[in-house]
Amino acid sequence: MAEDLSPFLPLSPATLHILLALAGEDRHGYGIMQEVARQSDGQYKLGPGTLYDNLQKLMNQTMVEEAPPPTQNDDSRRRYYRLTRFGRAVLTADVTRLEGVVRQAKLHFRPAPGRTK
Amino acid sequence: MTLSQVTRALYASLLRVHPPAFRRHFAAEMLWIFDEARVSESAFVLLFDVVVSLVRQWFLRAGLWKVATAMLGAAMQVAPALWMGSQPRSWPIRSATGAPIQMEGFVAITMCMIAFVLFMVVASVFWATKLSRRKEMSRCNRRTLAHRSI
Repeated sequence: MAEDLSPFLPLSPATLHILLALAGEDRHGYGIMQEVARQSDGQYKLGPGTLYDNLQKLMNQTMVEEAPPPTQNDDSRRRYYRLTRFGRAVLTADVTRLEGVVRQAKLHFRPAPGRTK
Repeated sequence: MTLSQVTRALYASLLRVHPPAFRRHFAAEMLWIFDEARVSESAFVLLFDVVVSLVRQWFLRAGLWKVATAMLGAAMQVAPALWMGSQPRSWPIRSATGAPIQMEGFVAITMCMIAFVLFMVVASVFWATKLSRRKEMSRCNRRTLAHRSI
């Protein structure tokens, strides 16, 4: 039976970017910030305050959890985070929703016949 | 003391006044990010970010807005009484001719106050219902996904 994920959708831009950054691998906070900047070509930058506010919320909603640090972790202040199965399900649902939005946008913005020069 | 040390000390101080739960969990990591990001980001941008975080954590996450709203509601209820008390005449208020004065102002304040309290009650109920539904959904989904993974 498919779960109803609608109460969690649509994701806010910050939440979407954080979940996307964690979709590939476990990352620490600064790694998430860098990955978000990379994914958006530097157009969307998360500050530490926004990042940890969202991480706290996502951890409360069990979409993200703390991951064990890799063995070569040289700084004890670094903590790693990973996506849970539930978080991945929500992210997938939101990406599907966004695909629908893009599809509609493409249909809507298609130039009407006769109007093109 | 250099400017860099001052901004770091200020950043650490602002982290220390965050709500305890948030501070215990994330403050050390945020300070580490400040040290790392200071190379590429302006310290003032990071300071602005932590100030916004401070306001957000206290008002939105720690529920201080509820206290502020309750105080505002209480003040609105007290305001008519204070207004009445500040009038030089004793109750019932009468004009110089002896006829009761117009009470439109008082009635309007009272009606506004009642409307505000009613709005707050409805908003609180709506918010609490939505929050409990979301928590329940999260719990159910976690259970479902955990069962699937077994």
